[in-house]
Amino acid sequence: MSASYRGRIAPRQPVTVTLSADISNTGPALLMAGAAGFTTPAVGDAVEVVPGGTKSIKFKNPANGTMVINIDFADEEDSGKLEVTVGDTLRDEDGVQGDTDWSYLIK
Amino acid sequence: MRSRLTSVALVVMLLAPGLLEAQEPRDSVCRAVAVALNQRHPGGVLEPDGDCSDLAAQVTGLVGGARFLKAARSSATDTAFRLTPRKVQSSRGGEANAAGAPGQAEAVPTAQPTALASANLSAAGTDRGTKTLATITLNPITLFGGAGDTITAARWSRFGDLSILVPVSNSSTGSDKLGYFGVRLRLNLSGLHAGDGLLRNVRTAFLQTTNLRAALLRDLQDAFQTLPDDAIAGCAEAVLTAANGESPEACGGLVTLGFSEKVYGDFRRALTLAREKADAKYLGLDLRFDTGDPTLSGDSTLEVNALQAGLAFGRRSTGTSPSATSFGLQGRVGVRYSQLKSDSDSVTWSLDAALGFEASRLVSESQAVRLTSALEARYANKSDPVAEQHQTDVLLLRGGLQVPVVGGTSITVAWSAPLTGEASPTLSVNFNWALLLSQVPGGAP
Repeated sequence: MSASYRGRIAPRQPVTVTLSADISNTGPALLMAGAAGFTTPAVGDAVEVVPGGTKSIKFKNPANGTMVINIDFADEEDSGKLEVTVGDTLRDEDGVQGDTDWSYLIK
Repeated sequence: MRSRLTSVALVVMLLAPGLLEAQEPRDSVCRAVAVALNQRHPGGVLEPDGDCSDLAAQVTGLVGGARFLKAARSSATDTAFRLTPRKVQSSRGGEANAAGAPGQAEAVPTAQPTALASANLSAAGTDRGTKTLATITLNPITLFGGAGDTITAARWSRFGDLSILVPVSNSSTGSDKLGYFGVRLRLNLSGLHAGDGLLRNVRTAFLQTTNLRAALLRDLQDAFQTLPDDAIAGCAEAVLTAANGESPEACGGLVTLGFSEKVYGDFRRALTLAREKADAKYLGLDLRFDTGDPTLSGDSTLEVNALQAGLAFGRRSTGTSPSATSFGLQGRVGVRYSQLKSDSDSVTWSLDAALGFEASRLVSESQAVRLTSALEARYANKSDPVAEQHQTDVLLLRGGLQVPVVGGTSITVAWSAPLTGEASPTLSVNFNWALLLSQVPGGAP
């Protein structure tokens, strides 16, 4: 279980957030990812990732604001690999365990 | 705590000047506060040229993240936040389907299937005595997999079910054979699409929290540009420790935490409403097979082999509140083939149709009070004796009141009266049981 600020990402870029859930997880995880600007409403999606499965969420960042990724795992021992691609660049790739909150500054 | 963060920030400014080079003085202050915060909350990323915007995003991330994690953690026990199979189970799914028998509980039986399994025991008073009928309904797709996978459960629990009807007491005359046996198959053709709609509502609830974070970030950025340098650390600290809805004094009233328990309460309500909307309309196949006497009259001359196929449809209003009373129309139209067991040459094709009205109100996340009434007709244009044997050429008025008891159980009082044709009026009491999907995320049924 962790919450962390992950730094800046470029505005107006296509973003792909991918969660690969470990096959040994006790149940499906709920992956939510989105971005909200100061003058524009949030965009994003929510998907469920079954154990051993991989799901992605795609959206385009606004001109400013914040991007948020939430993972609600079925159990705190459940884990997976989270990837964030901004434009054509792999921005973050890390293992996650338990409920997770990643946030970014869009600037 | 506030002075502690300020002190650490000052130490950072004195001992690590390299971190603060080539920046505006205010940004240097923010940078020092960010470094101090990151020491207390490790795991975050410090941008090499971090400024007050980064500090605002860092504080926003810590505040919003803590609230998400608290909600997620508490959901492990009360599942208020977590999406569980129970949350996406249809609250409007059908009871055990005793359609076309004296124990028919709904005026116009829906094509919406039961989520997992259900049973119905009905005692029906007719002009030929009291008849007792048992119905067991299974949703085979849910039973054979997917009940622990929430989205699969949401989709397939709405797709179809199979019912078996048997009389509890022997209804044939002077024989120990089973006087009647019926099978019902319901396929809800709108089920798959309806299930997909659930996640869209989850997304909406999540995006609501993201909007609140963006609002907090904007407030913090403005505050860190407006406040005196020596107030920035105090403001950051105050926001981190503030309660939902507060506007910390240390930030000069420039920052308000828009987060609230209501946000996550809205999330729960969004899930409930999503089920309601998903169940608000249906179009499905209604297939029936009967062998024996569906009226349970005990008269062997009324025994038939009958096959009926039709379409069932329904539409119900949905308001902004899941608990508001809603109204709907339900209908059914199909063709029935029947052949007398005592005379295989006596075959009748008849048109079977019904149109009904429903008023209902959700009283819990899984149960609703329902009042239904309908006109039901079967037409073949046969002479009276033939029509009576095939149970056709009748116009019935039906009604029913369903009251939930607890969990997945309910009691229904239903009645029917013929307006034209030869048919027995009925008054039945139905005891309905329904298994609910798992309350545990990923749990077994």
